[in-house]
Amino acid sequence: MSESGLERTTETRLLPASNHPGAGDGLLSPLLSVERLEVQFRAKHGAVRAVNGVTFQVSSGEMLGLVGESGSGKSVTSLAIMRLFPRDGSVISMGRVWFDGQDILSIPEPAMRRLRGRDMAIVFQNPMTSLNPTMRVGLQIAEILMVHEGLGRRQAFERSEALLQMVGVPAVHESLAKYAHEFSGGMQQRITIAMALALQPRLLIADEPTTALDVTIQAQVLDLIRERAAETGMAVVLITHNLGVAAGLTQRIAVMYAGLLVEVGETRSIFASPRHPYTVGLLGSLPRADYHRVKLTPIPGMPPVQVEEPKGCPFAPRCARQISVCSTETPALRSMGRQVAKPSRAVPNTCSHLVACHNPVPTEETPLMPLGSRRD
Amino acid sequence: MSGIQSEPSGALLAVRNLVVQFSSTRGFLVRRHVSTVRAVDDISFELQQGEIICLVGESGCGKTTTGRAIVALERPVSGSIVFKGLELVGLGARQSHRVTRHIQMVFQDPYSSLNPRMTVGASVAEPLVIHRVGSPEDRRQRVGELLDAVGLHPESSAQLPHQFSGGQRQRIALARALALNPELLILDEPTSALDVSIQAQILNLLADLREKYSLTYLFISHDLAIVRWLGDRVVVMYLGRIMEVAPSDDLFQTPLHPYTVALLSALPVPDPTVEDQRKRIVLEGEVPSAANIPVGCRFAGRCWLWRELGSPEQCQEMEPELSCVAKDHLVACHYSGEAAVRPFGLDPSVD
Amino acid sequence: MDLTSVRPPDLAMIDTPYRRLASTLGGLIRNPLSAIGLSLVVLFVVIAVFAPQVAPQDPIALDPVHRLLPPGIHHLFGTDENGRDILSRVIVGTRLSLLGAAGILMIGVVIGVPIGLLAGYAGKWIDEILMRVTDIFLSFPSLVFAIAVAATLGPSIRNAVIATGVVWWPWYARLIRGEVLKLKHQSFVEGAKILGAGSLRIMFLHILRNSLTPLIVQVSLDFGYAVLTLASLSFLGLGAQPPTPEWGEMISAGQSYYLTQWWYVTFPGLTILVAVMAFNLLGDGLREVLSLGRAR
Repeated sequence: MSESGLERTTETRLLPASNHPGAGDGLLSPLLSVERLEVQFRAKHGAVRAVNGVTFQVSSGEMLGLVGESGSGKSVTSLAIMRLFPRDGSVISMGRVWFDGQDILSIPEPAMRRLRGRDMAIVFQNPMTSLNPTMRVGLQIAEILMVHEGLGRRQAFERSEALLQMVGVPAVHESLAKYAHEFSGGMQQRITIAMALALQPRLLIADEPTTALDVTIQAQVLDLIRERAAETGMAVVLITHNLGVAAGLTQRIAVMYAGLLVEVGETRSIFASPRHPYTVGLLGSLPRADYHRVKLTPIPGMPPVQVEEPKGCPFAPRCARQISVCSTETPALRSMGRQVAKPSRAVPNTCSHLVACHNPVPTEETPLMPLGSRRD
Repeated sequence: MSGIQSEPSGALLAVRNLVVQFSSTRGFLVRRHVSTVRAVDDISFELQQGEIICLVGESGCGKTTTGRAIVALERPVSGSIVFKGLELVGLGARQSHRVTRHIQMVFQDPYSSLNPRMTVGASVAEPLVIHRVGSPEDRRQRVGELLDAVGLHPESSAQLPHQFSGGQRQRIALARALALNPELLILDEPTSALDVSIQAQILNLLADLREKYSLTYLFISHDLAIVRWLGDRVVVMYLGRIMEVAPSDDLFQTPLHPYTVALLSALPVPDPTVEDQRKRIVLEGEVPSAANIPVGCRFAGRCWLWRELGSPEQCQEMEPELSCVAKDHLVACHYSGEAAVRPFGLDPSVD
Repeated sequence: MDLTSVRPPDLAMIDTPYRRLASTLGGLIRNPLSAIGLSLVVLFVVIAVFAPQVAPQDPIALDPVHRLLPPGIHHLFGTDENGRDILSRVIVGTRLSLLGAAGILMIGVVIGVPIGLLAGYAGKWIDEILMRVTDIFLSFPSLVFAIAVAATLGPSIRNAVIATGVVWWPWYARLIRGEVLKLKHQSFVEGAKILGAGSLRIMFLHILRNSLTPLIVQVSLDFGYAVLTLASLSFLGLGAQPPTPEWGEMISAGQSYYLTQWWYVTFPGLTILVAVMAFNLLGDGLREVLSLGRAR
């Protein structure tokens, strides 16, 4: 985790929680750093846990995939980062979320609102949650610009037009005067992306942005996100249950299960040599279009209905590699070292592969997925 | 299959020139016709005993409507559906009752496919009750067997559906569909609402059940990866029409219709190495409305090949027929030979 | 096979009608407002059932000596112009009011539910015709219609109940039709069709059974309103006839005394108020408890 200083400039790290940004060693801090994040929802009978201590970092220009099944806590994590919970105390977030040196969980609401509008943006699965059905699309985008940038009406509309053009909405001028429901799902999602990008945020959280869309439209929207990220250098956290989408877009992947981060690493490394039994099981559950496989090897059992207080590994009941310590001690993320010799994409080369498992799958036992090299 | 017009070829199910139309009307007494949508527009295909045929396509392509027409949930405007030599279209209530025993359907949404007020046992036994099969004691035993066959504990039969997860409910729905020993199961995206790890369990179960009960499946899906894994033969639909029919491996290795090529190219593959090497064809625009189908080839407006070939007029004037271009491989494209260049980078490797 | 995925059912989790009733009651009691509503309704029902035993005095026998006495130890609610104990008359009137309201709702449900079910399920022209008929009935002001019926058939509590019931059902027809339209395209209903289930089986077993919750809630909310309507008709002289004790009829009789003998109209009036409120609280509570149970 310590290599030559020059290469650290674009570094993405996943360090133990104690090394909060800027601490000690004078490393350049990542844009977003989530440390031991816990989220609980207050319910009638005690608190319901959703996230149980999640730690990860994202640098500018990086695209991180947050992957997990329903109930894994991936969406709640994103809401906590944006601090989009009701402020009536019904949701408790603990831990730290550093964004550009500020602890998001503790700054006052007005400052947070500014940050949320300008520096961080989020795109949801259902575009209609972010579009006002009774307001013309043009005004909705222009309003953001008028409020945050103090632009005049005309200027704001000109910029809105340019934004819609950028995200590939056809007949831009006419589209400004339309209502959200007059667009197809794919176009609506493009519009929400335009709104999210209006103020050139430094962090974009995309929460299942293409799940509701058809494959050909999904490809268009993913291309759009990839292109915008490459051009502006913003960091992207892509939340998805679709490992294919994550494989195509991200540089690093963090896998969540039952409110815990179970494996983090470079995308290639995760797919080529997954070490956590859950990740291995997930990959073994996936039918693939690019080659014929005889049998799927699903994970037995079901994910827990509710996230429990961490006592032992939450995956243990479904795990074939369970050992005695698994039921008593929650495993912490440990480095497995680097596993891919040559990084494929612009991945910071000090990135390591971390796994939270007492008995990780040995590298030689993970050929469930063919390595890219194996098929050449 | 080559001769679509050929006489009964021993196919379990033959769909011929099927047209399903939805028209909306307004007004009382004097009904005004508002619009007509051709959800399924003249399609033909056959199912052989024991095979798994997959209908794929994007939303609005008519794949679900086709399945629903086969089980008489939609009334076709024209065309025929022949099951074991018996014409299903226009069948009287009593006879269709007799046929429906042999064709069952499993729906997409596990949360609405079971009556929330009926116990699991009552739901699974309902087909037996309706068709007056066995005594109550026989039925109870059969329910136990069925639940066991789909991997559920027989004692679950006393519980209500809300106590089960999505995957378990799909298992119950399968048990119910199997109660009358049907020959054909129509599976309408049965796993699309489930998580990946649960989806794999259900897919394996489907494969096992097919072996065990020698079933024939009509599997409706938008997920090409599942189609590749499960299907023997694939029917690709676009805007109510069949674009391509081919055995699964053929379709994925040598897709001949430019739409299929684009569909495969857009499909994310869970392998970053493959993803990095692929070249994508990103289709422009969106599926046109089924109320306003373009003249000529309905895909031409979005077709990458059409543009590449310099927008030949033929595509916009004449609708291509579904014709046989290789063994068991049918394509509806004027330039089907040209699409086979496979620039989409789905590396075929058959294990 | 992954039998591991399925645990044997937890016996304590198994739903039985008894358990469901118990959990509904439990939910009602947990909310203070619906608990009040429930206990008042239970109280009213008990009073109605045991009215002759509970009533301290004869509600009909005249006692001119003790006429128009203010509330006191012997007559908690005072007496009327014929010396009858108002408390006893209110108590005995409870039975008539509740029975009458139940009759109205019963007529409404018996006519409305099948019509709504048929209209929603059959659709097309049957739906059009039935719904237009429903609209016609809805456009009748119910009180005016009841007056017309009473005028032709003669005033009596039975005629008042029939007249009100006959204009009451369209609400249930609409409610049930809406539920049917929601349920009709659910997969389990379509699945039953594919199985070859008959229309009656689908309508009653699959659709009606799942529309009962909103119906029960609506009926319990309407109960208070039916009590009120019946009292209004009696007040107008179109329902219960003297000397039958009935809340509305008592207020009607007492209206010439309300300036000087306040208790005469006050206690029957308060009783109506409390009864209507009790049924509303219960209905609201039921809606909350049952819809929560549905979401689960």
